Amino acid sequence: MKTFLKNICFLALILFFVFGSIEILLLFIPNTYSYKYNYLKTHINDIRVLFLGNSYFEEGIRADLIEKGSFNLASSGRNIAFDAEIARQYFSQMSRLEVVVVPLDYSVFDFGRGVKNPQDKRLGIEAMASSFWCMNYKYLNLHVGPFWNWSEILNSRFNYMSRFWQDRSESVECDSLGYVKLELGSRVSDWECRSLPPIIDTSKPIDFLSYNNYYQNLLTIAKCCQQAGVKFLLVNTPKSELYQKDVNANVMNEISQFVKRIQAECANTFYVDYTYDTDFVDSDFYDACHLTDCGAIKFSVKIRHFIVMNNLLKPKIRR
Amino acid sequence: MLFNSIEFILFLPIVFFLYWFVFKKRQVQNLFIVVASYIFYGWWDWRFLVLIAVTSCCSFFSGLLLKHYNSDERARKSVSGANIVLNLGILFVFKYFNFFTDNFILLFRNLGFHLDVVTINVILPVGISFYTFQALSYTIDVYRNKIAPTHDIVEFFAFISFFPQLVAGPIERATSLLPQFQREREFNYADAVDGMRQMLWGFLKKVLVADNCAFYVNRYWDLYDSFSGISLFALAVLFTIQIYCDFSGYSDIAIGCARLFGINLKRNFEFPYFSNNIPEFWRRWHISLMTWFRDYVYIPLGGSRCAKWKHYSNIIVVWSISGLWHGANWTFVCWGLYHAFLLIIYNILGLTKSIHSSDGFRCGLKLINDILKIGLTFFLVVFGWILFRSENVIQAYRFISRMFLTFFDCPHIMLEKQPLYIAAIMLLVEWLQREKQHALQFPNVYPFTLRTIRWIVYIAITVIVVCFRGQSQTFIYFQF
Repeated sequence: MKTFLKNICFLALILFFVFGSIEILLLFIPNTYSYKYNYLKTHINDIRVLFLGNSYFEEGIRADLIEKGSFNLASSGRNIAFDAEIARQYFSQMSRLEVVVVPLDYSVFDFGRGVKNPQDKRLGIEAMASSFWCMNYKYLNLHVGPFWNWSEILNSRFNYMSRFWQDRSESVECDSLGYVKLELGSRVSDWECRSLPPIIDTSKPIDFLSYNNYYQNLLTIAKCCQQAGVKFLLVNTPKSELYQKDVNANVMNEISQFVKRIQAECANTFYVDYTYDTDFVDSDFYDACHLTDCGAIKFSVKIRHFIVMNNLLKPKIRR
Repeated sequence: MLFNSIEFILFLPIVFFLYWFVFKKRQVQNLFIVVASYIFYGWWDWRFLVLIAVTSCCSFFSGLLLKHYNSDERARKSVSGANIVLNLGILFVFKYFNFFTDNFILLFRNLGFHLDVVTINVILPVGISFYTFQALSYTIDVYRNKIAPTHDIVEFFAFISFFPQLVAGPIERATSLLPQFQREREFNYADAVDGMRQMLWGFLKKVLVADNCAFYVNRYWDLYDSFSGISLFALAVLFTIQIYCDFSGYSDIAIGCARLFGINLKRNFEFPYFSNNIPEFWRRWHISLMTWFRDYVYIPLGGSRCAKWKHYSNIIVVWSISGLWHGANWTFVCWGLYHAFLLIIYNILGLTKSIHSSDGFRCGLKLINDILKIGLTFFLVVFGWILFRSENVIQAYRFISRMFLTFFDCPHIMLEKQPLYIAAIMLLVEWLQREKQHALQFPNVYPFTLRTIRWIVYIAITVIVVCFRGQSQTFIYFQF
């Protein structure tokens, strides 16, 4: 037994060393998350319009089409808790920051009342949550949750080992201002049946814990904006026709009420809803709710227009 | 709790330590195994522990009653019958009630009657078919006087709920597992080390091969309309590899894990894809279930020692039940009937002998004939798995017809070949090690006689498994 235990401990030690080395070596290979973190650090006093949130923005906002000094810090699958942490850590240091834009996620508003859309063919996205969480934790240096979220080996379902032999230019997927392009040409044939909304039954009781959690995080961002004298814009992103069919009108009302609640506490909050915007056509969508490169241009121009029309930027430097 | 989870990696060393160092007495070890097993199962849903406890209690007390009424054959029949009905009743309610209700409603609707029958909204308890069959085998064996009933309820509970094999087998017999809980167990270094190796190989098959294949199978299976026949065939082969690696991987982990506790479980897979005919395939695939059906259904029905038509009807009955055991869906029944049909054909042709037992196979594959036979068997098995994997019979039919009709059609070939390469390497290793209990049983083969080389292999496999694992999937056989 002693020999067995000794050997097991020795083997575990070697494995711990090997896995530890892999984790640390991965830190030295650039990726989209680390690029965004470095950009934020080095341009902290240059950013005027900051886009937070998840893939709706990461793949939907061309910061170069918004305004000089715009940056897309959104990243796929990001939980709102990370955005709140960014607000807490950085907003007070960002001397030129004027507008912060965050997408509202319809699917989050199920608050325990929804079931997966039976038509949705996108599989395994739930299993990827820990991967996204880990990337934000490790590379954006946002310590939300327990420390073991840091480890890619424990949490990530991405093919992180491929980064060791991948061309360094391929490992950063975004452009210089944080936009990740989804080309129409690479869209799958059943694109409309991917990323459909959950079917939400509003007659069921709301899970108040998750509701409050989401509300508090958004409120944190709004308050950090208020303290820094920054405008806060909440956006409901465009959705495809098939997605719209499964959108529950009651939930949309709840979203409006939700925003009004935030606006009541922070007057600097603005809201715009593009869910039913008819300017977006089939070719603008990569799946039911993410935009292609064509859609991203259209959407970015619309956001810019909203910012300009509502005077969210200070007049003297407005284009 | 899943074997391929962080929880289990923490759970196992704790249980191992307490089992060998704290609870040294046999009775206490048995009790500890029951507690650990209930934690293992309850991690998924503690409410269903009641079902295991009820099944265990019924079988335990029916064993005692069978002994009590030793001379009263009628009472013995009633006791064993009642226990079988109760256990199968639980299984029926949780697994088949909605299936049969829905089908009856459909049948009567087609006949012009409207039935207003209530269906129940209940989830299928993980591994219910496995532990129910294990419990049934005990009662039947006691009834047949093959084994004396145990008076120790703790060791019986340990036998039913032993965590490595609780949720997906191997389905153990009381004659082999129960005596192991009745004697003192000693730690055996060689056995424990080989158990660890077997677990490692099981993890490789499950996490590296099966999960990587699963990613593509789950992604493309429902999109069969967009692929050419050759791609669909490749997809069916991927599922064939996936289900083997998933299930045999689980069995390897279970057997290896049990060996750490001084318990030997039955071998459940014997490299089935190297079989040269379908009867041989079924002697090497899910051995514990197949022998269960043989001993408790096929032979009591008359087996093969009866008229030909009766023999064939026995095969059809057993395989229909076997199909249904796998799930409440017509696809499984069709899959069972498909294999029954193949077995009958092989039987008629007299091609049921295994080349395993002959020297020719053990010395290596000498004849092209053997290669062709193995290839044909594999091909037939792949077809069966299409029925097994499909959501319904119509999908299976469309999948198969498209596969044939467009076999040489459009060049839209599934591009992801990486899992096929991984599977090919895994099968090659298994082929080289086919005479062993598992593929990592190599300590007597040079250069693995050298400890350093062995350790390098262990570390390399662990790193590859951890770093190149597929998206974590639950074990396919959990649903059965």
